[in-house]
Amino acid sequence: MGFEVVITTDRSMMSNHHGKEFLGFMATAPAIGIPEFLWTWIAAPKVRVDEFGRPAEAPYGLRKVEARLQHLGYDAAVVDPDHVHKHLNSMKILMIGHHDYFAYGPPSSEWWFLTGKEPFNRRSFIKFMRSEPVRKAKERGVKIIAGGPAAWQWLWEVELMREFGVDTVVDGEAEFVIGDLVRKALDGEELPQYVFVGPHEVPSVNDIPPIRGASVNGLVEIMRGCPRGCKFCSVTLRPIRYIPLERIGHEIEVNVSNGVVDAILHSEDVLLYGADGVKPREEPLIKLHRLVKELTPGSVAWAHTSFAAVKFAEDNYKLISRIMNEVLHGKQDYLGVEVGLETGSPNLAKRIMPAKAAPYPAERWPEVVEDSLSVMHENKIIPAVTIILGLPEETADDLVKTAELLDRLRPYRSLIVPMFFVPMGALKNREWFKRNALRREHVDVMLKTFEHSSYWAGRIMNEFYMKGPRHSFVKIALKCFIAYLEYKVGKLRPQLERLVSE
Amino acid sequence: MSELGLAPSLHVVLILSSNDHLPSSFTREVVKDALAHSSRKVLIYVVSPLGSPLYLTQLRNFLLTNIHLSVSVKYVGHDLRAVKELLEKMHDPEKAVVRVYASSGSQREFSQELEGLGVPYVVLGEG
Repeated sequence: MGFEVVITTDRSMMSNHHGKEFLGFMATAPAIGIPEFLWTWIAAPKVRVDEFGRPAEAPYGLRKVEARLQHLGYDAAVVDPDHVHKHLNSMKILMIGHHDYFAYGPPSSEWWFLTGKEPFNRRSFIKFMRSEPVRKAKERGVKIIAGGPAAWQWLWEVELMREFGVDTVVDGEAEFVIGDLVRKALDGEELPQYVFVGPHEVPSVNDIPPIRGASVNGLVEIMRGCPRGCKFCSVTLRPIRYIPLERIGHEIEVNVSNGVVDAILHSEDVLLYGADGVKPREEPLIKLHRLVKELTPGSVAWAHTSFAAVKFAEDNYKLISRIMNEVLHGKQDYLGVEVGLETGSPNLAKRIMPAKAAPYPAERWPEVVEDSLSVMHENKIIPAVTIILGLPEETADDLVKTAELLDRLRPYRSLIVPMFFVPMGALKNREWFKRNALRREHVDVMLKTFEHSSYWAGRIMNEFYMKGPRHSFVKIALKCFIAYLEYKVGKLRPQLERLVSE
Repeated sequence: MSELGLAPSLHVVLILSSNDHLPSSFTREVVKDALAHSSRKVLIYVVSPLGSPLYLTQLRNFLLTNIHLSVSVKYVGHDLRAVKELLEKMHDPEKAVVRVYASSGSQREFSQELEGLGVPYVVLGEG
């Protein structure tokens, strides 16, 4: 048996990262201090596949494309990159997706910037596209369609687009366009080379098909869109759609029945599920977490939330305490989530993310961040916090404010990661952050985030993360990696401090 | 029904010379035109001596700046030979509005051929 439409990606994406989503971040960096094969094993181990090379778990976006095409009646399936060759005789279309094809997104670009080495995800993707099965497929006239959140990166890599023979790039929510593209490709019609799906052509909730195979680490989408309107973000340009509870429950059941026992609730802000604008509401959130607890044998995580939503939910309804200590009580020791801090400067916050602190005023942004981190610390929610350096209109004073806030955040259990500005969303036409734009205040902020994160990473690993013998080798490898980073930064510290003091 | 056919489309033929990058006025013109015709979707047919897919670098700023319209881009060819046939097909009255834009560079390069198309075209300025 072979499929007509093969949907895939490279190894950096097609992995469950040992069941620990956060390890996936290592796939965005070059191998540091250890050989690449060992780095690959830690960051992106191979997944279990069936006889046709269909993976037991696959990235959620690929599962959505698979579901849509199967719903439309096409012979389509997600296939592991090591097994694409099994479908050379049947394949007419090769569809590929990625969240960072060429490592231009955060945090890959930071790793590249800091180490001067090509990140693993970029190397892995290019290697896959140059592999024999992909070359042979192209020689046989297979059409290649690329998509996903990093689709825009192809506009910066047109030479590679030509080398790989990519026929079409799809940028945006693809539900309404992929069926038509696949039909045209199968009928031998000419394809458009670039398709951008505008906010007026996004699917309604009923047009978003539920996944039919398990997603990596049980990720399920609970809503699309975000009302905050941050200028650096592309998601906020699209309308908000809440996925009904029964659909969320169905997708969790698909995952569990395929052996994926954990759940990651995906949204730009999980606490805005069923919200009143930017104000979280009790009822939908309690119902959501009760449902997820009931259906999920393993643990629950949130993809993203916001500091303002955490503070509002706790201040008004004690909602964070109730979710962690009542609804999810006895299920897990902690809950992981990614949260955007971006800047500690109220002035910059007002300019580029005026509603990030809402319903609190942007002037109170640092206080919102601090209060929220305190709530998360008390309730054993462990955030991976991002800071953006090099935002348009950023001043030295904005960076000093960020550094001062970082000092106040030291008591709160969290990992803080600096990222460089990448033009996206309403700032898509602005300048990238460049190496020669680095100032001493940036270095100061980066050093503070490193000190904070290395202090907390060891404690988090000892007390919460990767318990049990199953993960002991990966845990040892990670501890060695952190020790190596501390050693390297320690060696560089005098030079960096000299730079900061100058 | 075609999934791409959910909304009325504005058809744009864009003629570029090899050294052109699209001026920002193109984005303004296209958005204005689309809104004037209650269209949220633009199909752009590109003529460029750069060839496919390298011509996409010439459209990069437009594609990265646009956040409102749905856009579909097709490559027509190196020169204006294919444009005439394309225009004949598109001038079916059932089809949506068609606009022809030429960069100032292409106007110099293809001036005679452009006149020979027999359709009005807008020359894009540098601004």
